[in-house]
Amino acid sequence: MTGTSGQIGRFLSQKLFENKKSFIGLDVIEPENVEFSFIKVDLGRKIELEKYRNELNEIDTLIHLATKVNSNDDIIKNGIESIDLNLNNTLNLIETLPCLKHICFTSSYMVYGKPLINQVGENHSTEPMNTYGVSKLITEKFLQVFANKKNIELTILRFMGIYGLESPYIKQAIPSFIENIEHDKNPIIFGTGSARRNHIYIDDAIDAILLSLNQKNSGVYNIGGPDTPSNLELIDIINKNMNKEIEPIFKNSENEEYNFIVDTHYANSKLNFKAKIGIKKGIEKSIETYRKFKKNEL
Amino acid sequence: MSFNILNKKILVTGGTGQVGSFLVEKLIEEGANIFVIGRNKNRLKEIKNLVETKKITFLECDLTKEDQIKNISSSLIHIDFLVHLSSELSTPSSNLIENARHSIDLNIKGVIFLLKFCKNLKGILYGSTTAVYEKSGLSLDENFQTNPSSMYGCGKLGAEKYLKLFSSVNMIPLTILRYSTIYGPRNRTNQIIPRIINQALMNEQIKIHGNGQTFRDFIYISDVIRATIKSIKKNENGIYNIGTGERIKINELVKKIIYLTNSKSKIIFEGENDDLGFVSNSNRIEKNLGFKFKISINEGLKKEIEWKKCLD
Repeated sequence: MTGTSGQIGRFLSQKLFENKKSFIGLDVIEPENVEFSFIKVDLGRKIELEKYRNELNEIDTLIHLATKVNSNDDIIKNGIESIDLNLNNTLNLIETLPCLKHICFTSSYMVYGKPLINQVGENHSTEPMNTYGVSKLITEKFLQVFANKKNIELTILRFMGIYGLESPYIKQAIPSFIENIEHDKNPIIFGTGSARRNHIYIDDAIDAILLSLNQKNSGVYNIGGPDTPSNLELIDIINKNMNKEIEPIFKNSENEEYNFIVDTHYANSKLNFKAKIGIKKGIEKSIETYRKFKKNEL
Repeated sequence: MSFNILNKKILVTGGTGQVGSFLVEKLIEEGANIFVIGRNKNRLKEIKNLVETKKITFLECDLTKEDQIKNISSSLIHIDFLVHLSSELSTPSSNLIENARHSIDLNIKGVIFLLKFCKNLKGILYGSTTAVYEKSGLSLDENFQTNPSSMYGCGKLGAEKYLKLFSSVNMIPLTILRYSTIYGPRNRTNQIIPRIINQALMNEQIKIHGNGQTFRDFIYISDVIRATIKSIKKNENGIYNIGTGERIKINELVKKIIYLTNSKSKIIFEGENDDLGFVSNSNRIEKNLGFKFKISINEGLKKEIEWKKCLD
């Protein structure tokens, strides 16, 4: 598993450890409590990676989470970085894994660009609007050619925005709303706050990965949550949960607002995936995680 | 937004190649001020004379090397229009990952480095390929899903996507031309037509991978050049397939070449077909740009054979 120390990686390694699955974690940052085999390595350094050939030689399953998210749309500034960190690092990695039978690659809804229709199915056109989206899409394509020629099963999971993380990117809607409302500050909405998304709670996201490991079903699957709240509704849910009535502040947004709801029927039929945690429950758990994390920080 | 070629500074990458060299000649005729980027100033081939007589400016540069691109940045800054044709030279090596890396460096990174220094662009034309589609046996239009079956196709698709992002953020029109298999004079690759012509002319055995029933869509170089010039002048956002739409079975192709060269070559079919074949649907360029293809496969093959004979 790459990206072991990342947001999803920490939850997933915990889960695999609990389920007594043997695995090796790979990350450039050492995890806090290493209860599993771990290799500290930068995937960008091929020579460094090759030092671990013996350890990696017999690996048959790869969960490739390591990625660099950057929603910048300037290819001059971020294009090369997006290629190196998402695409070239992936190539370095699979080159050192000669016995692969199954790859689970976590991709993103951002490969689609602006939805032409909702819900967005896996066959929707792919016109990403940032360098991250392009690099994930192209990594998918390179992996597909590789897997096809090498007879490797390849599961690509295109995740909607994941929430309920321990140290979330504060720029994201849900964590920023929780943070503000918790401190009796007005949450900030860019635009009107009416656009809907089917955000997915971390536990459900982990479930999707675990299911794909069991099924080993090649394919591209959307993974999203069961509810489709707008930002206004999210603020309302958080307020109710905290017994507050804090009004949002609206700021102008340069970005166009649109609904983005991924269709998860295919994942349901092929992987037996069904998100279990609705938005109210998910927000409740996110607030608990947020408070626990803050307490630990102090 | 139409683009007037006269006196404009146009940069052509891959300008020593088949499409590039013919395009450069045509653009000079139309009064453009041409800059060509190429890897080696000692291998100018057909444009050697144009460089020596200073009709075009040759910039020696490897697009995979950022420092080399930086060295020519004073020329790049004034470029009005970029025609990006540079691509892999020949059939890939057998190492998949090596292919992938090469394709990424040349196709994707190369164009990003270039764009960094071309700060006055009014338009971009990208020479892409029908290899971005899956060879599924269907006639495919531009809306069809892009699922490359080669590392080469992945790199070309990657460049398309980064260019589209650049074009939409910077409001610079981008034309993407997805060329089918191009044939005709100056094709020095080891693609199927030049390879078979060579073998037929030497009366060698012709080995065909698969049963010969798979098909392709071949487009003659002069049609490619006309479509490309027309697209540069139009200078509007768009993706166009450039192929005749005619299904040519590989065994028919070989028979035609053997006939046209009076060859005694024997054909041997071996192995399984790699794919179900491919043919492009080019209705869009006909409709939007009023473009018609002129050269038939027989006529085109005759011309390539003549060229090959003269060369030898």
